[in-house]
Amino acid sequence: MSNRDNIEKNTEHLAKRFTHLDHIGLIGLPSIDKVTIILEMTDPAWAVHSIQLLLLHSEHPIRIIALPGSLEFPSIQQYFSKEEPIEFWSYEAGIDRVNQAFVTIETPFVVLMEDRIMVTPRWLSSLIWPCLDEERVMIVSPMSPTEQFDGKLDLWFQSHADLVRYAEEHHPRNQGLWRRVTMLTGSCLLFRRELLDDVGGFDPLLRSRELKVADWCLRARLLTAQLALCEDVYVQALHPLKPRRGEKILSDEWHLFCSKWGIERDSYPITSISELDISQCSIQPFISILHEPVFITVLVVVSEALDRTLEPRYPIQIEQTYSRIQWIGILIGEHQEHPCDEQGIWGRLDALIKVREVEQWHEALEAAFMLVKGEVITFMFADRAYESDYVTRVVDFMYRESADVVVNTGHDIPNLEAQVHIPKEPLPVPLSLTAHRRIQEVGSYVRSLEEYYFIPRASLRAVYWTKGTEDE
Amino acid sequence: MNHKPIRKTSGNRLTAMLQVRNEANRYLESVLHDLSEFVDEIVIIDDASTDGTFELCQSFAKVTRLIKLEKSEFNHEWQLRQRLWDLAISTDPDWLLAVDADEFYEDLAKLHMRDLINQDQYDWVGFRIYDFWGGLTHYREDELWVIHQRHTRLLVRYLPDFYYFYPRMDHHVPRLPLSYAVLPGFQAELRVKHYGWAVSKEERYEKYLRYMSSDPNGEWGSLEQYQSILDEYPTVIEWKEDPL
Amino acid sequence: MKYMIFCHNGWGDFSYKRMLKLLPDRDEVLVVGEVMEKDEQDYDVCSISLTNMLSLDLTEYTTIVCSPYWLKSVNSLHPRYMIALLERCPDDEDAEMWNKYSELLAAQADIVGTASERIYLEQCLRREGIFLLSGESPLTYGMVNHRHDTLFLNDYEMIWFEALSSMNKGERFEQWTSVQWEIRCKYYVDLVATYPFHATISYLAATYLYLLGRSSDAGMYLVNSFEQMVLHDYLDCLESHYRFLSSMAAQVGDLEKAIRIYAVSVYSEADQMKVIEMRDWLEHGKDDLVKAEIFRLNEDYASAIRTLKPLNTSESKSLLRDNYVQTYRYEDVLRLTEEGSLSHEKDSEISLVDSLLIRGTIHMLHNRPYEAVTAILTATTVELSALRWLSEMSSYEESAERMLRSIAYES
Repeated sequence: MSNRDNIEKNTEHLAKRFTHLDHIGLIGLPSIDKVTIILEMTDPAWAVHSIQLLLLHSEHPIRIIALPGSLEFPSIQQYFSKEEPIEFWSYEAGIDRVNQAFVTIETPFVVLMEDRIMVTPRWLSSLIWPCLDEERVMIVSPMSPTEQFDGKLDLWFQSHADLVRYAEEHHPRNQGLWRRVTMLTGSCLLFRRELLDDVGGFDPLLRSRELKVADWCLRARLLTAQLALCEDVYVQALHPLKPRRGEKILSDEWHLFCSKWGIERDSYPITSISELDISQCSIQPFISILHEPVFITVLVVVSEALDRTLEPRYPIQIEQTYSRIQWIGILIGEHQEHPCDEQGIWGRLDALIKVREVEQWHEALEAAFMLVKGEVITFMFADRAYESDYVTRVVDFMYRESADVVVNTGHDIPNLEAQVHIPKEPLPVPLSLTAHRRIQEVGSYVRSLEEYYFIPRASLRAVYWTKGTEDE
Repeated sequence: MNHKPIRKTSGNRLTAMLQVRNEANRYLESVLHDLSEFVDEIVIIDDASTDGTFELCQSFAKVTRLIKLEKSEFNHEWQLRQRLWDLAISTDPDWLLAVDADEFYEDLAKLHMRDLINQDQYDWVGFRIYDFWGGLTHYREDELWVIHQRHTRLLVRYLPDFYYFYPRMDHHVPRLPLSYAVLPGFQAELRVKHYGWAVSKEERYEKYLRYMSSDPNGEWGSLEQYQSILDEYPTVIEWKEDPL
Repeated sequence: MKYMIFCHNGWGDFSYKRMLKLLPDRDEVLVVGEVMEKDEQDYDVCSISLTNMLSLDLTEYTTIVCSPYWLKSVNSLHPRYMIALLERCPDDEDAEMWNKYSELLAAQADIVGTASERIYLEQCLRREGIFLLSGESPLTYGMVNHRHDTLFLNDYEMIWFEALSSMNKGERFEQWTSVQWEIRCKYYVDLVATYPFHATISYLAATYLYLLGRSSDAGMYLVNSFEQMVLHDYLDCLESHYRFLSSMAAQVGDLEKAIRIYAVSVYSEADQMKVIEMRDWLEHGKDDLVKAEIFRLNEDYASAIRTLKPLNTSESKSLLRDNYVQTYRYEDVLRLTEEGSLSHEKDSEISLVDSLLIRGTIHMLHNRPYEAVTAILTATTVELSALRWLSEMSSYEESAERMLRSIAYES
């Protein structure tokens, strides 16, 4: 027998021995360390179910970091006992929590997944094995409905029992079956911790999950990392009946991605990514996972009123839940008393500008802009009441919607979901309800009939939302 | 706002539409004379003729629209049909008569033409076309030459809001948009004389060669029919003009 | 929530068994008639005999009614909610009777479901609150705990679940109709890309886009379907395909175009008079009437009703009543007539007969046979042919009794 035949025979024997040992339960787990699971939560019912399955089917000791997807995400801690290895993090506006979770990772293997995923028996070991089979494998994905390209599999099961039955039959039969792929975009990925040192985290300029993950995988491949698809694991996925906000890939985001990776812009949708030849790309693959949440400047405007007895005055809600704020006050016109004396606002302001002539309001604004340090500017007027989470919500919307301008439209709109508008023609909006990024030529400011308005530049992305202030 | 009915029962204008290519020395002049007697307007597309066809068309007063293509679109027939249709409807017509450069309507048909169009119950008329063979006295009728045994849609009411389309084929595209098939029509027992095959044996042979070169595999027409052009003794029947 | 199931031909033929496991707020599920013990366990239901059922107080129950012949019985029980499940007419039933009384059932129900897409689309054009109980997607949209397992729900199961949950809470559930249309629309639009020369697929894509109010996109699918029909020699499509364009034009507000398109599709004098009437309305600024009529002429009664409801003229109410009659919303017809702002005009006699027959039908379905017969006999004094309604009523009674007997016999 030739040498080659010998090796083949040898491999066959080893495989048979392994299968035998595995069958009688003598094969331990591929890794002795804990595995960290970062779970992105989008729906409380899904999250509870997903975590229950993680606890049930993960053969390895795990540490779950559960990240709520929005400010309104309810607490689900009560469904789990304190002994369970789950950390429920709170929501933080203006920053990618996944990147923050990455910073805390100490385990050699990490799983990043969404709560729509329902794991199956032996899922975790099967995902780890390819990393041990091949040194260069850095990211591993199971077959699932959430993969866009290779790895996409939509299987229907009537119940969880059926899903488990399938997994218990299918997984061992295909054990060890995995292959290299060029792209992964799914909702369940296992990766090595070293990847964070080499490639870092997600690109903060990208918002939609698919593009973030695709970009990350491409950067990994630039450093000759391999992406693996496990054909011996299937995880089920839930789909939302109504499209989730922020799920759709925005055209400007796609253009950004295309420019970065040298793809033809007209080749949307996303299928072109998997055929990309990255050898021509000269991008710096590393993006730091260390970010600070957005720093925001609040311009507190107290404008002279004609008849102070009629105009209501509200105390400026300086006790905001958002912490990274620079406060700048602008006093316009004649004032009897010092309006910012109350509640020690005076002391809290980082800067104060006063003009006696009302007509000089624009210059006052210009002067304030010169002192602004924040990435975002929001306006609070003394003739409106603002809630204590106003700034947090502004930051949240601006960040999640990749908006340039955020306008609070008050209680009239029955729909509680934020409506996203990109006006074809610039619409004047009350300045007291506005926030915008600190960018060049963001728009113009107008004063008319004692009211201040902002007219955003036509091409900017303006988001209108409903919660945040009381009626005047 | 006017209450103009969609379908007029009187005062309908009749517009003839033709697609011509190098017909100067054949029947075109007679056809245009003939048409001028019973239609109101004539619209023509000249598919890049090289023989004075264009000038011939120009010389008739009732030809109100005439376009000559620089490059022939003969091998993209649906495009040619579409162009002619677009040209015809640009005149805001009432009824359109699709005529070939070698077709003549029998006298009875010309007599009834106005009655056919001044009504509001049907939107197209089919006629029987007869293939004259080797002369102007007899038409051919045998196994493969039976076009006169059915009706061909040649006369249609133009309804501006209807949806019109031609099948996207390169040959054998119908003269008028296929969508007329869903509207009610009238199969008239009136005849049209087609003189395209009334020519000499040599000319028929040339036609045969043309068909074989543009469609050697019988993709668009029947090879058997092409072959039958060469038949030595086809069955022909004497034409009898109907009394008026 | 307690549920009571009324099958058409007994449990054996009931085609929505899995649905019973997925009912929201599931307290108790009872099935009238015999159910095999194994099925009782598998589906977690209890069978109840007809007599026992009649002795219960159903005001706290949601009834699920699968046959028009149950309508009369269920009405007399005054359930909290009535869910109608519509089916194609079974082979051994009279189609005309089945279809008419199925419409009456749908009109009275709080929410309607059907597995037949044809029936579903017809109903979408007739009323609100309709849901499709079939689909092709293998994707999972939700979960329900059932005993010790978790059941997965596909798209239509999840939509139905959400709609019923909303209904149980007394909330509106129309948003779920749109969600279903979006999903069906996407399915067919994607399928058109694979089968661009298939007339029916294009037609369905056009229909869902129209339902979603996106007529500007729907048009191209409709004309593609029209072309395919003609190319394949299916020439009976002037109304279904071409005329439908007028409805789309009306939806986007181009009423002149809508009238012109409609005018092309009609030849009879009566229909041409209708064109003149609509043109007249348009000239006098009665845009809404034109819009509603175009919808009605295209059998989109639901849109016609939505357009007419907010209006308050005698003309609009007359049209509204016609739409209600055609969609078997008899209670609404009577309400409008009683409100009194209707002028019968020249067809007052015919309207009176219709009114009486409608009244008679409602009395019959609500178990008031004396009043029913009185109404019909009064109608016959105006028009003798109304007598046939008496025989129709007794046919209905007969079929209902036959069905009840078969169930009573089983249990």
